[in-house]
Amino acid sequence: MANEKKLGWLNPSMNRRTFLKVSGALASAAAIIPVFTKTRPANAAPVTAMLNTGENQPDPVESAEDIIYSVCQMCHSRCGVRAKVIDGVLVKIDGNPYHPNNRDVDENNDPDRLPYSMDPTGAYTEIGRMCLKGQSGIQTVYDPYRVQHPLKRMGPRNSGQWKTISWDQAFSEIAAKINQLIPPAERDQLIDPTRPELGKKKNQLGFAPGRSVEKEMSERIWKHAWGTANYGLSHTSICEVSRHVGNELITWNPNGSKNSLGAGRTEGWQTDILGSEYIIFFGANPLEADFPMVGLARNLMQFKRNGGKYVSVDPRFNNTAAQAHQWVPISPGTDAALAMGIMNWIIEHGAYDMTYLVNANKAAADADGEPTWTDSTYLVGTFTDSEGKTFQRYITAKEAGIADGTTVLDDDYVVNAGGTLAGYNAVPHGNLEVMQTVELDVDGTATMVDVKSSFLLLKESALSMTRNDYANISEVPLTTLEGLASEFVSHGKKAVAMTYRGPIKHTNGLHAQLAIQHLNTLVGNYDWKGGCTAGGGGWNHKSGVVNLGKVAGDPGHEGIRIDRAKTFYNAAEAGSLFTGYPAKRPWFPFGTHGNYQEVIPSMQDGYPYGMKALITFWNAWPYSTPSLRKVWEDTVADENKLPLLVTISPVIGEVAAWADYVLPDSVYLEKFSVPGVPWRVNKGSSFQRPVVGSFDGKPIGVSPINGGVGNSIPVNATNNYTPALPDTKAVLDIHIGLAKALGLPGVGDNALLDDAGSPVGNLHNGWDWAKSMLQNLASSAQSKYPGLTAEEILSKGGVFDNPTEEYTGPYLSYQYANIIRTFIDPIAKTRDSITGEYYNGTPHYAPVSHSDGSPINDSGFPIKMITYKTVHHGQARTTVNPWLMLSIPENPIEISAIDADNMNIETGDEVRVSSASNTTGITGKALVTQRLKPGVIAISHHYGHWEQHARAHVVNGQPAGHDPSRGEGLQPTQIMRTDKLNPNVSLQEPIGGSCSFFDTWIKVEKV
Amino acid sequence: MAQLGWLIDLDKCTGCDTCMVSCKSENNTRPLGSPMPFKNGMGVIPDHVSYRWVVKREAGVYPNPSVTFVTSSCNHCESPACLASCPVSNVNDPSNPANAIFKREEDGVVLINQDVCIGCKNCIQACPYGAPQFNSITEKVEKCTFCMHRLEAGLQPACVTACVGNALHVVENFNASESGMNAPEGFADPSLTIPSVKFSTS
Repeated sequence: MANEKKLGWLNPSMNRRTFLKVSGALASAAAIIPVFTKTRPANAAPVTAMLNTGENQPDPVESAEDIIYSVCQMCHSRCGVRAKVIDGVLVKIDGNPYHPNNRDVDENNDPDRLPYSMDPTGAYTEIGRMCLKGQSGIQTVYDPYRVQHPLKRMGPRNSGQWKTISWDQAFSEIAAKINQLIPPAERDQLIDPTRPELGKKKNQLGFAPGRSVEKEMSERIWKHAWGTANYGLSHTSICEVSRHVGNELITWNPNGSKNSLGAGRTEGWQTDILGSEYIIFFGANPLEADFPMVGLARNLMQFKRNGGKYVSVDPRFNNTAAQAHQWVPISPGTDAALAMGIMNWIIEHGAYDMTYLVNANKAAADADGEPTWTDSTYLVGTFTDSEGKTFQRYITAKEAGIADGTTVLDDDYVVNAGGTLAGYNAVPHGNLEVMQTVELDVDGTATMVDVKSSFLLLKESALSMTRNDYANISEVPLTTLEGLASEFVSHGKKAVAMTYRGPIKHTNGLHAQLAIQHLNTLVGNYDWKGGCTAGGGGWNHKSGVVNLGKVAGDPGHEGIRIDRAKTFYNAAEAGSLFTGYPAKRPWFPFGTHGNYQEVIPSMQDGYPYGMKALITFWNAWPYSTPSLRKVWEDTVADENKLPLLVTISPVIGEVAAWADYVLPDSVYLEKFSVPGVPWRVNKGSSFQRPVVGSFDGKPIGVSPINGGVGNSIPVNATNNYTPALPDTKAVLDIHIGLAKALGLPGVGDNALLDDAGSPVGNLHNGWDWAKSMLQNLASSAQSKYPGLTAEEILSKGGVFDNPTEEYTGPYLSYQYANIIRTFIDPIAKTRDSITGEYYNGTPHYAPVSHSDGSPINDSGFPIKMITYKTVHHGQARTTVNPWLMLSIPENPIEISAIDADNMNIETGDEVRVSSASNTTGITGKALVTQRLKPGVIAISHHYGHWEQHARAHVVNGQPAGHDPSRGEGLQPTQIMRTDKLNPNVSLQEPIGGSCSFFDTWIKVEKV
Repeated sequence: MAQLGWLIDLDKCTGCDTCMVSCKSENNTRPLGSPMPFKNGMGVIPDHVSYRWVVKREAGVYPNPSVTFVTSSCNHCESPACLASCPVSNVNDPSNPANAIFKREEDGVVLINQDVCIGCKNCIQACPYGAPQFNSITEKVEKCTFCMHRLEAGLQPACVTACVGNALHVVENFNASESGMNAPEGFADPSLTIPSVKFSTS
């Protein structure tokens, strides 16, 4: 640690409890509520005022002014935080009783969430639920090893040697280095004048937020002020991106703007658990992970109280399976087979909602009281391209010769209504199963085209294998498969099939999402109580009063991203980079959330171009990304491949260890943002704000009489924010500082503009930004809450709807209310950049494979490895929390009892697991368990850190504090399978870009 | 005397350990922060004091395994074995506050007074439930206080308010005849100490 002499709360021997007990900040003994004085009988023998029942006193009981609402980020659930702050010290974290994640109904199904109108001074005794991770956020704030000052690397990268510098020096040196690498006069010059498609040199600077809830600020600076195409290289493709993309394709809007073919209307479906009767979870673990775990888990237990039944389909008997009515162990990567098998049964038995599926348009849906409709009746033709390859796409009214310019427009879909071709808007219903040959005018040529309805394509796909085939592939007994199907269709709209990462993080993950999601389509449960929700959304924090994305002097951004996402691999969009098939590296036109695992390998290859500077934030690239570590180390060790690496991080993690500069940001309880509410049936916008630190030198959580700002923020003050560690900075202030040092537009005096582009304020600090978001929210929610002010939003931790508003009769109140597509036209028209084959636009099962389509045959590696998230941890960042490490100090290698018996392995044995991609392997302790399908080994994520202060770095010549126990256990990403064609990247799903986490074959050896 | 007790709904516990951590945060039980202390100084078992914890009781054989999550704490027994075993407490005068361990008359909560406890660990041996825990720094024994400081302010214990599954409840007037009702397999014979806890399984 930089200054061992600097006593204060960060000296490990001066923990926050000691601080509270001895600090002179405690004004009076009344601050500590004496125990056992109130109810002692009058004639009892006298005792000391305080009974000591433990090493430390419990927290003092709160009063209203001790409560500050914010938002949690110990995982991505973004639950509401009720922080208890006493004399400036954070002592307890619970849930926000206004926030739907933390409260909704009690055991009797009566609402127990607070109505939004309730005054917080009366609400302070109401406590929302908050899981162990959220509770442990105190240890994230008071982590004694947090970086306290900006660090500059001394010695080579990753040598663990640093010196502390001032923020001024950090900003000016970083800006100087960036200007040296990409001189201001050259920023707008082309990287390669002969290849304008690559874009300008400013693209060679990238901002890589593993996770950011300050996206509006980072985009303002890096997209709208600096102008790089690489303004947001975020983590989503190692998370669940192919689920997002699958859902976007199901809700595709050809007029959307994610790529030249459009964009989706929603990325997420979630279950209305409280309204439902039967749920099949495919690879979703809401009692431990998923999000929001606190809301989903609470709801699922109430669902059980109400007589609901749920099924857990997963190779591992996790906590969700332990409380389920049925566990279905499945072979990893075969979820689509199980789903298609269920679909096969449903279609064969005619047990789908025919009335719903034959509706061709919104009016027909409305007439049936259905909020959504499908493309089931739309006709899809099979065409041949100029190279003789066949592909499918919707046919158009113009081609069919039925467009009339009024009721039937040129681009309208075509249905067969009782034997006659019609425009989809011109008739209420189409025939469901259509197969015919029609004459179409295709680009001026009369062509005979075979067409089928989307539903027929779906049916043919489902019936292309027998249910026995599907049962054998998924290793789920036929009777189980058929039982799931028959139960699923016996609950009307109140049955849901829901995914999370289990089916998705495989090379076939996108089609698994389509197959499973469309079980819901067969019963038509979208927007119904007890069915699927696209989320209630929130209010608008981005515009209205201040337009967060508007920058005067916005230089624009263009060119191909380093990860080649959102761009088609063809001559038109890839220009000279299009060199036929296979492409040098894969392209991801439907990678609407980017491709995180491709960035570093692409830099290593210099394809499509090299990078000069990366600024990372909340980023654990070589740790969390399958098989990236060696590529990362090789690439980043080479200052020619990456001349500048700046890392924004509160601790020295696996990325920061390699940085040239570490800029210590404050932790999530020390910043402003509008993080969003995950897909819940309720509507809400939570507001994150600092709960410790000070504004303009006045401490938060210290009463105004004692010179603090208490639990409110004076809206008209400058509110320069100092985090609890005074020489760290909130990330908003870091972005502003970098922008100013670089002389970028969009910051400083009069930088904030309204929707019309007129200046409305200055942008000098995070509060200027936060205030803008509050004003936008207040304005946006005025119609619902007239008179809503920024102060009120701050006082309640956001804006939320009221209990019971989530339902309107039998429907969800907040609806998607649009089309559900079973045929995915955009991908069916697109060729894979590696194989050159057109994608299949219909849900189906295909086995996992390499990018060239070849099967993964790793002989000598007979067991499949999966990984998972345990309830105790959030991604990469929680081994710094001792409370979260207590239950499982070291993660084991979980082996099924049957396999362990065959291998002669017992619990506690030291074993090595290795793969074809890492034959050296990793070692750990075996745990023999009944909770796992034989043939599968499970190792949790979160552990096996080699940084994060598990080892000592040297700062200003002194070893910094560290705790080796933070590095216990093993990290399975280290041995995950790489792609045959591009071995410097993991296996990945080609359409959405999901990094594969569950397709690695391994062997196990006793050490 | 209106004995306070626990109702644990085994069917709704999500096994998340939130009750354990919420209690630790409320009662400031060790470790408060990094670095993680280990028992005997060896990096194997963390040296912590946790008044509540969750037993994950596995049973069955694949493909029908089962796990029962049983949140466990002090059960504030009618006839506490800890008190009976304590050499500096008078088992015939259980509510005497001069005892190291005493049982409050008004609500039956059992408390250990650090200022009287001599750290002999008899209570750890005696308790069937593992409630009393030795603190290697103070060399005294601590355990759950039923969050008295919360109850006296009209608030619930920290474990109860945080419980994600809404499975853990306070029973305000615990009926001793229901002691150990629907207890999971392996739970100690309730007739030994008459714990103020009952379970629900549906």
